[in-house]
Amino acid sequence: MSDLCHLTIAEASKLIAQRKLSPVELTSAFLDRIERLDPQINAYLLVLRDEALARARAAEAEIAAGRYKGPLHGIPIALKDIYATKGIRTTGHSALLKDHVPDEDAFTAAVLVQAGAILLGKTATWEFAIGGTSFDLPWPPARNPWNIAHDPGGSSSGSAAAVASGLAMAAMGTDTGGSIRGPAALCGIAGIKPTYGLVSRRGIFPLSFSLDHAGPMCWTAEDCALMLDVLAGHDPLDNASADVAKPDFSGIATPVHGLKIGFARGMTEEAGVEPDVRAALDDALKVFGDLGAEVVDVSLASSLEYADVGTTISRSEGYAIHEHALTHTPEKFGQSFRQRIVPGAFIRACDYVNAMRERTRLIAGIADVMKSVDLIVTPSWVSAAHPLGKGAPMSRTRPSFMRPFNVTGSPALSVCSGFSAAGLPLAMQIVGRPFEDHLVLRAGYAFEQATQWRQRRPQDPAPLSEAAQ
Amino acid sequence: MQDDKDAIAELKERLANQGLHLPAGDLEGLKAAILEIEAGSVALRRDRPFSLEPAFALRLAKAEKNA
Repeated sequence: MSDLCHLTIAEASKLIAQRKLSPVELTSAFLDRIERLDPQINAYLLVLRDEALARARAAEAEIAAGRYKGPLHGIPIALKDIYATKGIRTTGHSALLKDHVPDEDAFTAAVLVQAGAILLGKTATWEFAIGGTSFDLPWPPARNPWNIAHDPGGSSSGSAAAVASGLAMAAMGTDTGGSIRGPAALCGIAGIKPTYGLVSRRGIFPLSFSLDHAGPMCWTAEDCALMLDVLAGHDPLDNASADVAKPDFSGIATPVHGLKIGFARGMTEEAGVEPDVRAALDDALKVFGDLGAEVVDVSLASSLEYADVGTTISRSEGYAIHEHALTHTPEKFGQSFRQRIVPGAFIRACDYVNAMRERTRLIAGIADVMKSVDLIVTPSWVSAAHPLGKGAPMSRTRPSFMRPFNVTGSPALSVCSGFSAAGLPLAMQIVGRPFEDHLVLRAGYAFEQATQWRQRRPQDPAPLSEAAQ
Repeated sequence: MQDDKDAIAELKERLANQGLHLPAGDLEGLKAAILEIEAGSVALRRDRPFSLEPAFALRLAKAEKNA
């Protein structure tokens, strides 16, 4: 039955549409697998067995009656536990909201359900999408399926772990400074931070209003495109939502021949990436060259400049959101959360304003670079995953390849680009122009099709009962 | 060592001024987190040791002056 859990959405949806695969059978396979493996991985905070099976039965009946809704109909997915779900506990992985049950769905949660997706459960996250890998919260942190002694990254830790271990076909994440792409990279899956404004954030617990993005995490770039095709769209009740034509994701299989790809060499070398990350990236650039793309070097601002701006904005906005609870019930937060958010109390208004002004310069700088190339490629992360709880958090002193594109709002995809000697995933980031998310995914798809990395899956961890023997 | 104690005491006072009464175990880590954010780009000013003044503000001023 586990083989069903290793289908991609593209594969499963074809079988479901042809009525060769039952949504009930598929959902049951995932629920059984979650029951067997999640006690070791901790991807889920809440599993919705009865609700998922009821929805799967309804999907099966609809499809049998000729009311097939599209590629997500009958597909089992999960939501990061900062997405509000009507009548279903939504905690932010925090004691503060341990018993919180929203009375409305997040916009994106509703859209996915309307498209026929089956909600398996709510996934682990860093506390309110920033706290870090913490052991002082009501639930344990998620673990990396490639080696459960290792960190899956964050903040969308459970979503990445669920998809990588075959415990969901897709999961929703959020990304304020790399929280989709980072865990996607460390767990060896595909994750896209869409263009700012393409996907509504309404009903998702905010971290930083002007940097937050919502997006899908899947095994492949193709599956991300299937998800984004449903998720993208204007929501007048999200102030940041853009009223623009939705990108056309149907051409994802169009070859990349003729595209011009810029390698951010200076930013990569400045960061001092591990040799295996650099080797995988060089191989990936060669793959693009072999596929007929032109690869050139491009020069971006230092990642430290983006870090100055991104950190000042995110900490200020994050502190504004959490100030009341921090002053009234600080003990309800984990220590890691407090230590990451409280510095926002000391950022002056003029520093925040200057960060916003500087941000416009950085956005203009990227737009200028992208006049000469179609896409930019960087590593996603400087190394493979660290042991759980031992990795340095993303910070100014550890430059991030991901944060710059939260600052600029550009679409950015992380795809698996190989494996370390220890068998842990490595990843590269593909960045595009605003609202050219389809082009980013097209490049990711071409790379995945041209390489073997999507054929490798993590070995299932031993069930706890066996591990204890 | 005395400097560290003074810094922690000042941090505690500044937090309290903002209505923040955090567990004592937070202070050392919080100081480190603030200093990390400040590192490299943020001037550590003698009169306000925990305030942030990002380097980009200085760059921006220079750019405007040049303009």
